[in-house]
Amino acid sequence: MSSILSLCVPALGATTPLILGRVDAVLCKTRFEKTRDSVQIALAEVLNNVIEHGYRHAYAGSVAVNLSDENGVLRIMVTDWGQAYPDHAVPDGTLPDPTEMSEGGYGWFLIKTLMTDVTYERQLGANHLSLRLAV
Amino acid sequence: MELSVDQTPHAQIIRVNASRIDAPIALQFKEDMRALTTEGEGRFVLDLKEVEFIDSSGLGAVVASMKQLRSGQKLELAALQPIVEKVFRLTRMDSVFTIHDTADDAGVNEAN
Repeated sequence: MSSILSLCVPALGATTPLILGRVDAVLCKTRFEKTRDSVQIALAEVLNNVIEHGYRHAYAGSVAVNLSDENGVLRIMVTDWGQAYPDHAVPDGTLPDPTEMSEGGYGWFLIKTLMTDVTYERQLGANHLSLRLAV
Repeated sequence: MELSVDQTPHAQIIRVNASRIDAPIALQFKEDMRALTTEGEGRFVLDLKEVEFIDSSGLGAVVASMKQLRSGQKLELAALQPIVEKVFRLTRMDSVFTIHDTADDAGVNEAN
């Protein structure tokens, strides 16, 4: 396993594009170049969840993003120190019926559709979300 | 969030002059769209040529823009860039909107 990128920044709407930009620039130079669009879409949803749910009752918080190469599989670890996920589990992520014209509920669907393996762990007051994506 | 409007013979083209429609600006986008569609009737074409990225909040704001139209108004989309196209396709919202390759196509041709 080799590290591709490791960063820890304030979890704010304004920092999300900066994190996504860093990740995209780094992925360009790796064998995961073709996963760029999927990573941008999925990671944006994860970061939005951290801000809107994890730190909903906090003034501010941090988010750590780690990318690594696990023998050809891209692993993305996102850690925050906000509220635990409800039921300590990753939501189902069912796609809303398109004809219902739902204005929300697409986030976890996109994450789970674009990533091959999504696991959650609550440990020592931190949320660890792990995403994997094979090339 | 910057939106500009061009009147063409068959539609009003609303251009999004921003590279992202995402969580921080989704609400503002929805309100700006409401203001631009309070008057007029017929087709509004949202030109997304400049928009490189959309998240689920942005998608929700585009859907809301359609839902808040009055009768006699219609919202169509044009010039979806790769990530935007992917989000609409995966969520099947591409089946709900009429989507044109370019705003010029949409403005010249009447809707079917």
